[in-house]
Amino acid sequence: MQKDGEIFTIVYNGQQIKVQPYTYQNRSLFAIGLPNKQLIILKSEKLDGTEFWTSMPQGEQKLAEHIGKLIDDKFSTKQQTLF
Amino acid sequence: MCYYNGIKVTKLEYIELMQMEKDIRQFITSDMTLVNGFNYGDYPIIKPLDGAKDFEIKLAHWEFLPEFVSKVEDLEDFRKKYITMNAKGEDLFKSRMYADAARSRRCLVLSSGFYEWREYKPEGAKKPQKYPHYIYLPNRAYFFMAGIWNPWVDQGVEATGELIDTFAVVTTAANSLMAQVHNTKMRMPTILPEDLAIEWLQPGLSDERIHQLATYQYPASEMEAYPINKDFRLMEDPTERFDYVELPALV
Repeated sequence: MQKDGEIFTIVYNGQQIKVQPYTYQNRSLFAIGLPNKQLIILKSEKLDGTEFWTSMPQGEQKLAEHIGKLIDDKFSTKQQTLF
Repeated sequence: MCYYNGIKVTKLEYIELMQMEKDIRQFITSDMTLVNGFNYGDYPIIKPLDGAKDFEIKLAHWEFLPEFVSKVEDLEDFRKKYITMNAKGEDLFKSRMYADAARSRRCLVLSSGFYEWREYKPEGAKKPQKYPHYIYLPNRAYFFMAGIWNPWVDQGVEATGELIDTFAVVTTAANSLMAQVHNTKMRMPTILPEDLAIEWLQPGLSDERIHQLATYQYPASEMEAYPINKDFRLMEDPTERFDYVELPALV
């Protein structure tokens, strides 16, 4: 598991939290430093081919989806500001 | 067809995710730099296997959840009444929630250090301020805290049926160092030297012996503590020392 870029922050429930991107087996994983726990999330694929955010280990699906969306938003905002 | 986190994925994707999960467990255990290390959360615990002849390291939810909390939706109310990250060693057998786990579900919580707040009222301040400290064992990269665990399955609306382990760290009276740091509650985690840690996992201990181990006080002379930045949770290295001019040194 290799670090894949610098730590960045997102705002979750009004608090800034740190996110460290990693790569492992050609997939992107994100270690999330919540105030009360560390969570690793990544994108997986449903049967119909659509992507979804999920937690690893299992058990934090809703949280993974919520934070995953914040990461998606962060990257899309970042991209928009480049143009 | 398989489910990962309750969502249908292909068998191949499922196998890949499960393999990754297995692979990254070691990483999660060894690289916890983003974990704040105080209260709540998921954390590695050591559980005995096969009558304590062998052990396993598992990530578990840091908050002991008893059977009477049946679903995630009830957690908010539960937390208003109970704080179950810590279990007072002296009272393990007085508690209906913890007694059974103390007798039959003891674990160790692996730690490299922990955080605690020291209260101090600087000159001129209207009220005491809280100063976070990092506490560690200078001669041990990792050490063991006594814990008790409980299996828990969410039976709520969006339950996946996954069985998770939940745990509480056992606490004892503060030693002389921790009495200065955690000076409001005068408590500390029950840190066990290796021989006592192994004993803690053994089946068949008497209540008296469990009580003795649960209230063991690690020597202050083998622990160190220093102040850290109040924003340590946002720092790359949360354990970095930060000296406050107004704060007297620990003795």
